[in-house]
Amino acid sequence: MSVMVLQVFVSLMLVVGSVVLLAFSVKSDDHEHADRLSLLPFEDERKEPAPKGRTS
Amino acid sequence: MEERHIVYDDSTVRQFTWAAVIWGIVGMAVGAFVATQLAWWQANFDIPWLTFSRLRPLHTNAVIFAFVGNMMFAGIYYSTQRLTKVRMASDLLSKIHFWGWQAIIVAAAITLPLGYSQSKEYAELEWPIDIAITLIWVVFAINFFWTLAKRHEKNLYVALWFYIATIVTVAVLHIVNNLVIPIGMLKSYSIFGGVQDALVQWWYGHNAVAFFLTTPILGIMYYFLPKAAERPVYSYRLSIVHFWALVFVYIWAGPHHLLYTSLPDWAQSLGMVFSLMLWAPSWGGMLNGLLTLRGAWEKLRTDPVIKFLIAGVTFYGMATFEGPLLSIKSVSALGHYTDWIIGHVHGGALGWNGFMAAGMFYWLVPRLYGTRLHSTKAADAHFWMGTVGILLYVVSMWVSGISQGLMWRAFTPEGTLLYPDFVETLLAIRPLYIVRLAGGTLYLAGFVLMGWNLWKTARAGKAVNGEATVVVEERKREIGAWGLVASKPIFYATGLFGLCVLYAVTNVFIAAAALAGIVLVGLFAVLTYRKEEGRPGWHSLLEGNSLVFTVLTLIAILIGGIAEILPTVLIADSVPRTGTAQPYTALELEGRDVYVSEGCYNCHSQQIRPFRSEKLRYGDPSTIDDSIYDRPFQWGSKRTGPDLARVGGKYPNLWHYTHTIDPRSTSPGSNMPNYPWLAMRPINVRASSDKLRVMQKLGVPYTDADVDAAPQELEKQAKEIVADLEKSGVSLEWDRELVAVIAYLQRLGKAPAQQPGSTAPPAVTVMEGR
Repeated sequence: MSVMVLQVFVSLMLVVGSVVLLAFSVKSDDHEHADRLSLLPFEDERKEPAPKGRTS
Repeated sequence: MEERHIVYDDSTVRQFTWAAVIWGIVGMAVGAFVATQLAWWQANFDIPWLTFSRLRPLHTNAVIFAFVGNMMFAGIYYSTQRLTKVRMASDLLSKIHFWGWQAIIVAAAITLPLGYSQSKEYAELEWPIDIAITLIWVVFAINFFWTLAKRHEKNLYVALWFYIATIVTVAVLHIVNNLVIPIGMLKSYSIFGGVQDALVQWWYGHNAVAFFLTTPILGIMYYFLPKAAERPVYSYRLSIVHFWALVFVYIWAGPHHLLYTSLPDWAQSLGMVFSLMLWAPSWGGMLNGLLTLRGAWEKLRTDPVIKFLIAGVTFYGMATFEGPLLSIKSVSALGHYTDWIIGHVHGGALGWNGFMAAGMFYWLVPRLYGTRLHSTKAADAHFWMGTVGILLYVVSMWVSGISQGLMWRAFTPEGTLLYPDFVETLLAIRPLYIVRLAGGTLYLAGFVLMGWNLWKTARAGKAVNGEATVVVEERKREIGAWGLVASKPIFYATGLFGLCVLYAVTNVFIAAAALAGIVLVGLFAVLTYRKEEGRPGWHSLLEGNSLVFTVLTLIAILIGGIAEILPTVLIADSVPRTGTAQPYTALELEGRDVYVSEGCYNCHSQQIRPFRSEKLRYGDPSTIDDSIYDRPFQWGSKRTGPDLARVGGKYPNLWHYTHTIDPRSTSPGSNMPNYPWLAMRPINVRASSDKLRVMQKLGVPYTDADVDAAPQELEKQAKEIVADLEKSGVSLEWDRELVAVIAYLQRLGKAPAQQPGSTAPPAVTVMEGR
C-alpha cells in the first residue's frame, strides 16, 4: 500500500474521530466543563516549616 | 466526609532543584569546553578522556538527563502533589528516585570519558547503566501513579497528562532502543543493525526530545505559568486537543533525521509529513502559553519569572517552526550534517528548556524557603545575558550551517566541486565557532549568576513544606474502567474504525459502501446520543480515570512506532537488499569497536546521499547493504569531518596512520584531535571469537569456522598491515588498536567480491544540482 494512502487514511480517521467526539461533547452540554478545570492550580495552600534537622 | 491535613514533601523538590542547578552548570561547562575544542583543536590536550569525541556525549547526556531530568523531577514532584492534593505516595521511593538518578549521572560522567559507549546519540550509556535507568524510572513511575491513585482531586489537570505521557513513553523508548547483547561488563552490541538500527535510534532520538525535553516541560508550563501570571491557562479545550495531537503525531517524526539516506523512501515520507503536521499541536501549546498572559502583559516588564517563562515559550515556538521546516526534504538536503541542526537544537535547549528551568526556579526557590528572591536585578541580568547568549549561538550556527551546506554543493562552471577539500569548508566557518563559544559562555555565565542568586535566597530563608486541608468525600464511582470501555462512544468508534479499515484496504465498491457507512453511522451516533441526566460527559469521565487515560496515551504513542519500525523488522520487502553485504573480518570488527568507543561518529558520517556533489566528493551513494551488519549503525548526524562511507582504499595505510596520530600532517587546518594512544593500546585478541559468536547470534552470517579461527585470521591481517607500514619506516606492534582502526577504515565502502547468486547493486538515482 502506498504510504500516501496510509497517510490519508490516518488523517481522515483522526479528523472524523475528533469531529465525532466534539459533537458528543456539544450534545451532552459538557464542552464547558474544561474551563472549570483550568482553575485547579489556584487552590489555597499554607506553608509549614520543614521538620527539625532537615535543611534541604 | 472528613477533613484531612496534608503536608507536601518539598524536601525532594529542593533536592532535585539543587541537583538541576549544579548539573546544569556542569553540563553547560562541558559544552563550552567542547565548543572551545572545535575552535582550537589544541584544547584536546592529547588526553584520551578529554577528547571532543568522548566529551560531546557527556555534554549531551549531562544537559538532557542530569540538568533537564532533575529540573523536570523537581517540577513534577511539586506540581503533582498540589494538583492531586496529596503528599507523594512514598517518601522512600522519592529518596531512591533522587539518589538513584544522581548515581546514574555519576556513572555516566565516569564511563563516557573513558570510552565506554554504545555510540547511539543520547543513548550512549552502556547496558548496566541502562538497566539502572530502567529500574529508577520504574521507581519514579510507581511513586507517581501511586500518588495519582491516592489523590483527593478527582480530575486530572492537563499538566498531569503530560507527565503521564512522559513516564510511559520514555520507558518504551529507552527499553526498545537499548536492546543489546552484552559482550562484557561495559561492552555490548545492538540487536538491531544497519537501517533498522538507524530507524530505531532516531525513533528514540527524536522522541527523547519530544517526551523528555518537551512534554514534561509543557506540563510544567501548564502549572507554573498560570501560577506566576496569576491567571488560568488561556484555553483548557485547546490543551485537550493539542495534547492528544502532540503525543500521537510526535512519534512518527523520527525519520526526518534520515532524509536522503538509504532508509526506504516510504519511511522518509512518513517522517517528513508527520513532522510538518507536528507544527500545529506544537504551536497550540505555544499559543496557549503566550495567551495566558492576555490582560497581564505588564508583568513581562517587571517580573523576571514571567520574562523567562514567556521567552521560553517563544523559543519553543521558534524551534517547533524550524523543526518542521528542516524536515522538508529539500531543506534537509541543505541543512543535514551541518551546524544549522546544532543551531536548531540549541535554540530549543537553551531557549525552551533552559529558560523554562530558570523561570521555574526563580518562582519556586523563594517559596521552598519561605522568603523572597535575593536579587531581582540579578535575575533580570541573567535574562539578558541568556537571551544575548542564545542569539549569538543560534545565529552563528545558522550562518555556519548554511555556509557549509552551500559550499559542499557548490560547483565550478566546468561541473567540478568548487571546494573539493573538505577542510576548506571547515576553515571558512571557524570564526563562527568562536562566536558560538562566546554565546554559549555568556549563557553559562547567566546560569552561574542564577545559581548564586538562588543560593543567597535559600540562605536567607528556611526550608518550608507546603500544606493543605482537604475535605475527603467517599468517592462514588460514576463508572468503572470496564464501564468506560464498554460504552456507546467506544462502540461507535470501534465500528467507525472497522469501516475505515474496509475503506482503506478493499476494492473500490466496498470502499464506497464503507464510506457511506461511515457517514451514516457517524450521523446516527451524533443524532441519537442522549446524555443521561446527572452523568458527566465522556471527557470528564476520562480525566477522572487515570488508568484508562494512561492506557489510551500508551496506545497513542505506540501506533507510530509500530507503523514505522515493525515493517522493517518483519517484512523483507520493506528493506530491499541486494545480497552484496559481507561481514567484517575479526580485525575490522575490532577496529570498528575502537571507532565506536572513541566516538568518531560525533564528527564523521557514514552515509552518502544521492546528490551529485556527494558522489563527486565521497563516491557512490550509500545503499542498505553497505551497513546492514553494522551493530550499532554509524551513519552519524554531523560532518565536522568528511563522510567516511567509501573511504576504504582511497588512501594508503600510511596515510591513515599519520592522520590518526597527527591529523594536521595530512589535512592542514583540521580540528580533529590527535589520537596517539591508539598506537600504544593493545586489542584483546582472544575476545575476537566471542565477538563474532555474538554477531552470529544476531544474524550476521559468520560460519563456525570463522568464529573459531578469528584470533588467527586477526593476527594474519594485522601483520599484513604492519608489514606495509614498515616499508615506509613506521614500526607498530600488530596487536595495537590503530592497526585495527586502519583495517576497518580500509574496508569501508569497498564493494565486496561478487558472491554466487548475488545481484549487482541497483543504480541509485543521483540528483543533479545538489
